[in-house]
Amino acid sequence: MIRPSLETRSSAAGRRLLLAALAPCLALSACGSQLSWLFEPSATTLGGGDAKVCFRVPDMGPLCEMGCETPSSKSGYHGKHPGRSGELSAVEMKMARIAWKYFENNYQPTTGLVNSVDGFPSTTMWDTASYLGGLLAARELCIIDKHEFDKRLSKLLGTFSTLDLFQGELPNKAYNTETAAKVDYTNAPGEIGFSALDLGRLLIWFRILKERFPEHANGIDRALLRWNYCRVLDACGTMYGALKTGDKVEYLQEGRLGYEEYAAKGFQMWGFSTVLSSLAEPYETIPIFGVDVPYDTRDPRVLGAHNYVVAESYVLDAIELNWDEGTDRSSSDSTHTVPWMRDFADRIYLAQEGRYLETGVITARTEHQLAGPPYFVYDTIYTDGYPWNTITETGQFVPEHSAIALKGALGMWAVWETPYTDLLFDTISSLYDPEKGFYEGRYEISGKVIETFTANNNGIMLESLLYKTQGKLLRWKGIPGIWETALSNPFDGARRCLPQHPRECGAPRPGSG
Amino acid sequence: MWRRHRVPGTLALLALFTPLGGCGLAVNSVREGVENFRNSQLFHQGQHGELTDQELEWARTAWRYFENNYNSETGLTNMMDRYGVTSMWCVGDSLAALVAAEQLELIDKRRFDLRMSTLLGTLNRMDLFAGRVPNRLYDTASAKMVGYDNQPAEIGWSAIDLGRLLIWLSAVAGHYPEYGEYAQKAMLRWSFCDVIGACGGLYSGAAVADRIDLVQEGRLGYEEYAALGFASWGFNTARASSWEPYEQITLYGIDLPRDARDPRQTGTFAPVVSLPHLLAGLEFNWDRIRDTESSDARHSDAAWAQLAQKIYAVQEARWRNDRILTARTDNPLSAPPFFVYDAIHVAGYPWNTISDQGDVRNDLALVSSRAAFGLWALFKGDYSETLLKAVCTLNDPDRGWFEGRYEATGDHEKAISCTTNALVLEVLLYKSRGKLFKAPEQPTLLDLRASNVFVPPGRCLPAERRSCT
Repeated sequence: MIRPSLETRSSAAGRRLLLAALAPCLALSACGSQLSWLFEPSATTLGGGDAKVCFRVPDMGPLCEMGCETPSSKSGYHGKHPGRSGELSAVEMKMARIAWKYFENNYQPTTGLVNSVDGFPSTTMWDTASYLGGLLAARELCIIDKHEFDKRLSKLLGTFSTLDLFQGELPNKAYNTETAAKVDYTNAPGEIGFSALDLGRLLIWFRILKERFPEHANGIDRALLRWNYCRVLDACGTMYGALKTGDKVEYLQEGRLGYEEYAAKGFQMWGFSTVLSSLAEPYETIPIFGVDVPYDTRDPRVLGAHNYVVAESYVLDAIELNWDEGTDRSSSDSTHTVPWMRDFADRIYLAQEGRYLETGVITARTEHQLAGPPYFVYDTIYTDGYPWNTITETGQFVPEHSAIALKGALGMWAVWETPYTDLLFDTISSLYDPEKGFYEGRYEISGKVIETFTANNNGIMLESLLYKTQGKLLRWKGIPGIWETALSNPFDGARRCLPQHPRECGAPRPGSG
Repeated sequence: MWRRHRVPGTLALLALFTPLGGCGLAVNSVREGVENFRNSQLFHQGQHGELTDQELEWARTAWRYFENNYNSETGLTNMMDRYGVTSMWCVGDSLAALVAAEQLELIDKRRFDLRMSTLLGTLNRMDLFAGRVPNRLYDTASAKMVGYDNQPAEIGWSAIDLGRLLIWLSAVAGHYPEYGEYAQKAMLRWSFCDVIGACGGLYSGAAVADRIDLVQEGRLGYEEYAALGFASWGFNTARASSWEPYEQITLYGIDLPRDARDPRQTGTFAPVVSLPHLLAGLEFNWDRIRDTESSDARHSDAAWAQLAQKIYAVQEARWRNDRILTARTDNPLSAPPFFVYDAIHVAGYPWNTISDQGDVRNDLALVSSRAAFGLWALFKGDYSETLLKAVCTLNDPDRGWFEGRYEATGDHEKAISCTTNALVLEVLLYKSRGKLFKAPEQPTLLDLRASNVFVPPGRCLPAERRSCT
């Protein structure tokens, strides 16, 4: 089912081919200096952001013309990654430019933040991470130059350096993108809590950027050293979100199978222990079209939290982390150091492919926005007891809002190279407004598009395209920075529960009072 | 699970007959011997053998219910203790109980005849819903049709309830041919046209204003069980007897089929419960309906036997893994909501207990007496013995068997029902006789009447029907 993708980087012939193709480019610009990786697969290149590596070649004339700047991904030999690989076709490149349109339109120069929904000046940490994914892809695909990239990232990190935190501890669930003020989900001023999943994803993206762009590492480290990690993770490595209602703050275990382990990796890669949240358990499987689909068994009837099974977390985990441990700095992209994650992801994919093959319904399911009420649905493979369940946040059954989610479709296209994902690609590749970006989705039942544009959708689509050219987006350089220095100081950070201060697992969890 | 076959010994016994008489006698003896051998209690699954004094006491307690709740005017039995309403399901129960009482010699032939005759007479006389089929509910004192509020009303019919009644009318005709004719005359009053489709789908009817709403009735389990009743009289039940549409769920590594019809869209829950599978075991030995020949040691509907085995295994697995004693089915209760689907799986969740409105009421989960007795009868093992111990004292000797014991607290649920007490009697009869069902002699009165093309009954009886296309 999952065909090995064409891989030429490791073969000598491929390298020669590459070099031959590079020749004109090398002549045009000064980008030969960092080519050692081509010949020494194990070497780690510690080049700065300005390293001029012109690695990406055949049919990449435009890149060379642009000055052949800085692919930051080239820090060594990575092995074969799952799914699509190779340079982007003209169609794919066009898609990337259109997706970037969203981030041009919705950029807030005062804060460096981007609206999560077109024209709506509010965002979350999850959507901010998706923006960072889009930003990296735009840079790596040479849609923007270093100046634009640095301007945007510097502005954003500046905002984070003074960001008004929830209870002075962690970023609030939502911010006004024009003022960077804490807001609720309606964008009215006020603090409402924090989301461990959103923060986990943001931590992943800060790590990816820190490793790729050491020139921005200080800003990232300092932003994260402002945070207090005592309540978001307990001593046993379980993640908690904060929910503020009135004056009361509740800290509730957050994350279900898929999202939980993905977000935990964000904390893991900054040195935190995430023992319990990184376990797949507790889960069960349910057979759907012959595939045993895993789902979280924490009971929605008792706990109120839905145990939705969707493509998104598994796809993001593949694209950004190659289904590896958060701390895995060296393994080849052809192996996955969290093997069950790959196994589960394959099943999530196969169940959807199976639905298409058995019923003809083109399926790419994940959570997505809507243009009208209820504005957001969990459009799932399975949740709350039912396969192909589509529910609102309150659990109401709304099958009429089931849709092919574009980010889900393109993500699966990137990670699984199959005839079915070819079909998904054809289904969604032209569902865009050239002035606004890609639509959120296309309704399964009516075939109409969901006329909503979001940072999450366009950001994930951009990173999916980038994945095709680069594989795993997290590329460790491992240069110690301010964060690592702080962690090596045993006299600092206890009140913020930094990783050098382990707590006793089994004690009452923090913030329960 | 299975009794070890003592074939060599029995064959030796058969061989002994041969020299004793002439040729013909020997042949007869062998034939008789084979018959006895086939129906030997050595060969049916689960409990078998003479009833112990204790078990006879259990049977008397169960029969007590049918003494207390009997209406001698109509022959009808109350559905719940001291509540003068009954359903056709409960009429089926009371026939089962009556047969068991007679065969276990709890009552003499004269009492049996009086009850049977009065009941069949009522079935032949009572009013029918829209003049077609028995109403869902009847007043037991007057045999008048009533609604859920116990006021006179024609509310509709249940094909599932009728299915159980048809099974026991069949069995009565099979075991006691002298009553079969009157049972069939009662059925000849019914119109089957809207109850069962040409392809064997079952439909309930509900009176709504001035029309009748037909809704497909039955989900995997009860649907297949009720279909046996229609099939026993020759109806094509292809659609109801098929498991489709179903999906698998996996609990403790055991794959169980569950009905795939979606309660969110159909408004009907599709619980995975024990009772229909247990009744199919006790009454039919999980055999196909036309199977009157095969040894009780094998099940000619092997898939159903395997499904029932899994129903047992998954409840045992819950006990072994989670130490929660489990015997689940749908049960009446003595307090609101008065009824729960206490299910292995329902509405998306395993070990879910819901009211008929779908409210989650896991506090009302029971170790169900009817499920526990049925599991004990059909499956030998440590677990079924454990279950029996948990329920074998849940009775009032003057009133009958209680519904069960609360999983959450161990308290008794003291509702007393027709179905549970009939089930206890069926279980004990099964232990002493094996498979309870016996098909009526062919051709039946129904077949003969329906085949008369000059004076057709016009009731959509099997012989009147066109084939499913």
